[in-house]
Amino acid sequence: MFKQILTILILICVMTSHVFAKGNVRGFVIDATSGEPLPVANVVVLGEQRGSTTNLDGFFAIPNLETGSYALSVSYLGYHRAELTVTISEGASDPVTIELLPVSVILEEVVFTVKEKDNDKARQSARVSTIPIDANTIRNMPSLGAEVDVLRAMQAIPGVKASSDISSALYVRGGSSDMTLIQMDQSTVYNPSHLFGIFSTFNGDAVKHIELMKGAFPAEYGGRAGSVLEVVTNDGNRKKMEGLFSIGLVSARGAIEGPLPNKRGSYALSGRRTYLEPIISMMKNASEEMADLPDYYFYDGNGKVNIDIGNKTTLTVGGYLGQDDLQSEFGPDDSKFQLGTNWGNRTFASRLRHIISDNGFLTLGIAYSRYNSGFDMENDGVFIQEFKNRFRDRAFRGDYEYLGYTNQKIKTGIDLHIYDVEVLNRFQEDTFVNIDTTNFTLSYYIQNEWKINSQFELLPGIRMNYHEDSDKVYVDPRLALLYHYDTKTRLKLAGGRYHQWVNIISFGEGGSFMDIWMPFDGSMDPMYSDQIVFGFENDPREDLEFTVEAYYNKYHNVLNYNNMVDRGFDMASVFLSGEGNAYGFEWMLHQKAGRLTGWTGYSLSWSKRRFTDTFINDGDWYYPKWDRRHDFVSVGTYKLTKNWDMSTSWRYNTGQGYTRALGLYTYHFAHVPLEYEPDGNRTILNGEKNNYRLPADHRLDMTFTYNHKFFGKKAKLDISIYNVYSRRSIWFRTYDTDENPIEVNDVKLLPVLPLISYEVRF
Amino acid sequence: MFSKHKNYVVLLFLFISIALIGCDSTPTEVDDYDPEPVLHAFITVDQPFGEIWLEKIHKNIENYYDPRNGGITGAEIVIFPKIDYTSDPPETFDTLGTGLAVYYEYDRNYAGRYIPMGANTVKRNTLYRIEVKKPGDVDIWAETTTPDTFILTVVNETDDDRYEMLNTIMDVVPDDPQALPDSFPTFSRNDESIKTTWTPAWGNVNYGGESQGGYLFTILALTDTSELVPLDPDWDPDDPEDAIEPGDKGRSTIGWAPDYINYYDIFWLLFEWSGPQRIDVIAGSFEYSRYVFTTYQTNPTTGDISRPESYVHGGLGCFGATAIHSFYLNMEVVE
Repeated sequence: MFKQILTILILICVMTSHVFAKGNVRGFVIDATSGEPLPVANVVVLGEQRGSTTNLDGFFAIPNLETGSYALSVSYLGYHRAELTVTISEGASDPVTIELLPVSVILEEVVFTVKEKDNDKARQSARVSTIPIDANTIRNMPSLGAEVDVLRAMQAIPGVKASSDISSALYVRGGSSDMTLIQMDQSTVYNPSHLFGIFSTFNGDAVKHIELMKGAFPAEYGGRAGSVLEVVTNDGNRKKMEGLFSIGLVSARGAIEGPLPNKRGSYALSGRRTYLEPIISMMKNASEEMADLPDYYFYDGNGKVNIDIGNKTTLTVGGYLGQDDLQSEFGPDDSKFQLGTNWGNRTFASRLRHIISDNGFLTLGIAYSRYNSGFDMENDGVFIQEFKNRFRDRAFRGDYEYLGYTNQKIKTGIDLHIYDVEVLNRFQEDTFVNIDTTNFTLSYYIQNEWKINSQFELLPGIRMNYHEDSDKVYVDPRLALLYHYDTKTRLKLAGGRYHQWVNIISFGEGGSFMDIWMPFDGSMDPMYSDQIVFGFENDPREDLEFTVEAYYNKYHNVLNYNNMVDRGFDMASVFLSGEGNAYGFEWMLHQKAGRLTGWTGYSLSWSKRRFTDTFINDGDWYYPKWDRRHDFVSVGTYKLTKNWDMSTSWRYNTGQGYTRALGLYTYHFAHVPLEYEPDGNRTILNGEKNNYRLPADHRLDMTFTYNHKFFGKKAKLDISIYNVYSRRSIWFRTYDTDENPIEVNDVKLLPVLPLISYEVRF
Repeated sequence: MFSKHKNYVVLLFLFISIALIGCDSTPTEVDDYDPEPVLHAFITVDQPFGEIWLEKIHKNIENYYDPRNGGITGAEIVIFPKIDYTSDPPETFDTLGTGLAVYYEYDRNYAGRYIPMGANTVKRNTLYRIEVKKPGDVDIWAETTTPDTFILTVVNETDDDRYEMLNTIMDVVPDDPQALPDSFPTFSRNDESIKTTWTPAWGNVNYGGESQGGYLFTILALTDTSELVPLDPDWDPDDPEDAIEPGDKGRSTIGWAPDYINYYDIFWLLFEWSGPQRIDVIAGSFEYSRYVFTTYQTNPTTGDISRPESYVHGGLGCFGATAIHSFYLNMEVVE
């Protein structure tokens, strides 16, 4: 199998490398102030109806141009459009570097003109359901704890849901949280959350570009059955050293970046740490009732170094380190229990990018991602219980883009993941769960962005996956079609099959430290989905986009933890396999530039699961917890004055499902004499799972930002108000059966919360 | 086409969305649930047949609950051993005759409770069946297999006389309170935990099921409720939250082990009260073990498990069998 894939790959490289070209223009689009490459920028040859978009490394190529002079128009979200003239000569050309100036930089003497307003065709690819968001938008959005939070920003997009206000897990279009592939610089990140899901692991200062593919994504992505979140971190300023320092109520963070000493590259470092310990200590000392509060902190850091090796090759080495630590003690004074809990991610990635021949772009990467979680409990030094999940993903990836065809962009590559997992649950001498397995998945893909004519574009692709344990090849065909109705209106249709190789065993909401990541081990059939999306897009104005999409996802072999087993030694023994579907429709109006930016959107959706012949809802269909019928969201940032910005976020969604009690009865046990429990034990008999709804949620968050100078340095003061009108959403509903009649209690989430942070850039 | 009317189209989508959200009402919690009968019947090897409870689900959870209000009265209940549990067609009460059967009568002082007539004892390694009939209601039946008795031992790793005394008490007085010695060995939370081991309650017998059952552990304080003294040094007798109630005397289930495990450590922290205690190690039949395990797994909040595993046909609850081995000790407060 591996040899066949390799042969095909080599064949394609050889074929595509020998296509004759008249002349071409190729190069990089970068930020004029920092020198950082800009991914997904649009490069258009004016008057020729030819163009391209930059890849994640900021590279583009437009081949087969007649010799002569051409005017290029280059645009990118959040940047001023640039125009320049290039001269094409026969044969290969040296890469050009095009610099774009951020909109936030005011240079009155520089005037950018836009001669054609309808030249965005090249930007519009056949991809559906793709939401690109630049880092500035996220930094301006209101967030919990005044912390810039990538995942919470994603939750404000129609079709993306959170299971609760304090969860950073993403539930995209009816998929569970593990169905979203989260990549940071093409390295997979597992369980990207801190503080039980309240904060995400992505430090907003380290992020440059984010792209969310809500479904029907192309063949270059794989391994998950739902969606993809691609996070690109800062490469670092290539022109000057700069940094920032910020303090808030919960944490402090800092970042520094700059050029390498020989100007042949750049570096970027950032980090943050909470300082809850003094606050917790004060609370412990202030009240005896709070004496058992646990000690908690988290920290994380990102680092990246780019080294230019000639003008065609760049080597990037980067990594992420994050850790949460929670220590608590409870129980009577003479016999204390000590509970130590920790969880964290470490990733390391190295990528080599090289321009091959005239129009080829090669990327080779290795990545290592480690996720550890667990706890151990002792009683006065005597071991009681240990639980741990050690998950390793060692990956190798090679991608080759060929940009030499006039109307086609071919991309192919291989993706190897070696999973190594250990799950252990030991109580005293007794081992309940002990899974220790290693296996690999090797995938090969090829796709072609083919512009058939001025109206139609096609993006066919195929991804073939070989899984070691099952010794089978799983084929994922993908297809996307774009039809340009007119210069501003597009229709899109896309679909495909998507296999998933890793799963979460979740004991609560996704994003918890108790989540266990498990690779597919061949003991049962792998999860996969079949997806189809129909989209309509229109640009009423150049900076305004209106999209409508309808989708249907069918999920096969979805997994649920089997609560009825107390021991497990492979996937088949701890999971139940079922089916599911999700369907709905969404619209979104996105204002991309101007004094007011943001979006308004709505989602009407259904998500269902069924585990036939199991105890889960007696084998019938039910709505999972993240199912929401209606979801309306409006996010906006408005520049009030030269110094003051205001951001708001308002969201309405249907309440989450809950299981209502059918009735009450007394259970008896043979081993408990009646005189010890004269009233027996009152208990609830549940009805259909999640068949009722908690009240609808809606919440308004606001942030006011004051931009100013602090001793000559750029600074900003953020004043945030979380949950402005203090409507506390219900987290979950409980029954207190000790009371008679029983009490129904709603556990509510946070009320209005004013927060503040201060940031200085130097 | 679209460009001409773009503003109207966007507004149309907005209004449609608002209209749909307007229809987003919380469902009225009305259901046509027909309350099911719940049976609890347990038999213990070498012991007389015990009581049986039969009630209907209390539907309106907002109202005060008294199990007697839902108690089912006037049912005909019989338990009998099945001689050949592999026969086809299966044996029933009608085909077996009445020679080995135990009949139950309705307790007129407690609606829903039934008391056995006669003093038969429960046999080891035997398949029993219960049948409940009431005119106008669905017949209820269930089956369970009794385990064998087993030998429990406290492992004495420290050569401490007190641990050896526990074994002596178990050998002399497995179940007879009259034979108990005047005093039990005394322990505190500072002592080494009790390590127990036992011989299998099922031996090599296999009744056709994959799993034969499990073991449960309980601690019962033998002091009168009015004289209970907690081991917890933080206990405050003047604090209403620390008030002792009758149900506080027993810790219903402190541990669980499947049928292939034969050891368990009992931590002193699991003991709540000072004074004499009885520790029961219970071998439960498959039906009983699953019922206990899944009852504790049932979480009303998540609703993952809507109801415990019940092998009662025509209703809910459990018909289970146990074999019990006990030992006694005394707990003292550490200052």
